[in-house]
Amino acid sequence: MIAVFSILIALLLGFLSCLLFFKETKNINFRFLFNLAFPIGVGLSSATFIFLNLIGINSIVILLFETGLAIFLILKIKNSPKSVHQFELPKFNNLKGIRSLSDLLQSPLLLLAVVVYLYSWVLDVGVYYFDTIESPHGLWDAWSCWNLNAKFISSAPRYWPHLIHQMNSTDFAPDHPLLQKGFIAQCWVLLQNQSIWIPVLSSFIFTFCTIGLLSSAVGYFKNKTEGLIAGLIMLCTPFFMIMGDSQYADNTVGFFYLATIVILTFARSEGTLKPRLMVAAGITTGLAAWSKSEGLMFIACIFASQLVLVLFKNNRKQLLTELKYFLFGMIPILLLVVYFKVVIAPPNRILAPQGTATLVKLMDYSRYVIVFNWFWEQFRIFGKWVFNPWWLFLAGIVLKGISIKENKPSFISNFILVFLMLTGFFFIQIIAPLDLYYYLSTSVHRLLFQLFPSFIFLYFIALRKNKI
Amino acid sequence: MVYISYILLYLRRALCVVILCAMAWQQWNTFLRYQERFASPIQYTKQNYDNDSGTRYGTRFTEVKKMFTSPTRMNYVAEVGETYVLSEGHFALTQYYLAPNLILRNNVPCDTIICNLYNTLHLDPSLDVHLQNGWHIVKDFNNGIIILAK
Repeated sequence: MIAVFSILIALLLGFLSCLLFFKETKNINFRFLFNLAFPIGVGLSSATFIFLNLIGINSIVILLFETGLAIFLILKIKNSPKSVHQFELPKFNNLKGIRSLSDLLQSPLLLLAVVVYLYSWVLDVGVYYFDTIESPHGLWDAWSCWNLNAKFISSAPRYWPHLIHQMNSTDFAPDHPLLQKGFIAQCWVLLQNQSIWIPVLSSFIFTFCTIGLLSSAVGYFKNKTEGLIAGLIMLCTPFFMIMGDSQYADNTVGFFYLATIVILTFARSEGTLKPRLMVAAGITTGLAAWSKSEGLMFIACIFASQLVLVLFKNNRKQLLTELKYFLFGMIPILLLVVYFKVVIAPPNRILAPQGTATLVKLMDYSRYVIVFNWFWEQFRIFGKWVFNPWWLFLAGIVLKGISIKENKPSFISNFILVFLMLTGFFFIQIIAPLDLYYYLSTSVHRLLFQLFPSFIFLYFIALRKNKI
Repeated sequence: MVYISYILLYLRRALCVVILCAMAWQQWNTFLRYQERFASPIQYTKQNYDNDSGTRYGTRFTEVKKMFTSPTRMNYVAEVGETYVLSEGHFALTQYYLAPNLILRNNVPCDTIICNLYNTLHLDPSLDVHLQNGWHIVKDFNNGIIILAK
């Protein structure tokens, strides 16, 4: 019961934070907030748990602290005078419901999209359930890294930093940050039982909220039909669901990449400074770094990608102020990540110092050819579709054309961000101290999937706004 | 001009329908792979719940875990002559089921050794290097898991 309460508090924390972040944004819908809020809640709850645990606070007290924080946020929202004027949570009313239904009936295309979406969603929930029953502990990385480390934290809440520090990084990747591990461990501690359903639920939240967030964000910037099609691309990609029910953290970090890009697009959609959204983007960036080591590269890429905004007159003026708010949101979580990486985690097996070997690898032309061919092959067989899904993207461009006028600065900086991440992933393969073919075969497909939701969002943002 | 824009509009709609149908077809293929499970989900759950290979493997460690009341560091001895993949799998599963005890195999000397001999099941005292060098069996769980100490 107390574990259920803990999960609900985490979700409430996320929801209340998002209400505050999007207070100044017009016409935001409940579905968008819901899908953004739950994973943020899980991330904030995990970071709070680990931080308070490290300073020696008992799990029940941590839960009480989170409850207090939720109450504080409720009072803050309630007492904020602006919230009455500037933000109204969409309420369901019959008239609006009837209007939506009539929209649906008047647009056969939208109706078809809704039907295919619902059918796909239900089917994928079923697939997720059946795969979970078949492998309730998840696949290799899930139990040998994420859930194993969560077991250390929950079974030895006082000694886990010492135990994880002694682990061999080549065996169980104990150097990956603690978002997923911390949340699972927190629930297990409160439950007093290492139930396999906690990691299953955690992965479910991230997998389906990624789809929901993508769909509702595209729906907000474009239209409902395109939003549904964007979500459908994820729903129809078998490998995305496999990654979800495998309980890997790639969907977790992929969610925060997407959330950051979506929030930055919101923040820059009207040309005015939106401090709350920049703080939110900072938090989601921090949570990406808190999810997986690749998130640290995301931070580096996000700063590099912001430099392009200097070219745009309107954005140039407020860039420094925006970055100040962004850092305000990111730094508390980043400090926790840095503390974990420096004090607790053993060295990362990929980035461990190799001396001149790195330089030799960088100069080795044959490695570039192998890695490039591997990436190319992944594009060819992407996502385990029965046909090559890139044709769908091409069809979309033929159907609508490309135009980035509307969100030009944010689109360009976010596109550069995704491109830099992809380049970073490429070079990690080049310098990795592991057997190249082994590393390529175990990582490239997952790394590409971390960026896939963000890519789809940017693709739809770039499509011309035509009537369908 | 108006006609052209109407033609383009209907072309776009038609292409959109084709895209949606392609996606529905993709999902139909996914459904076909899981058809039997969707046909009888309750039966599938009853047959497979708690019956996966990982959970079954974990039952070997239930008694072992009770031996260690506080986190213990121990070295690991695997089955001789097993393949790399099998060896890694058994090692990782041992660590997973015995956490928060720490299973080490990187030459860090520990006072305890765990042997995971899932094929041979027992140690041969005349051949085992540890037993011949001052280690003794603390407990043999008769399922291939043997704890040694000095």
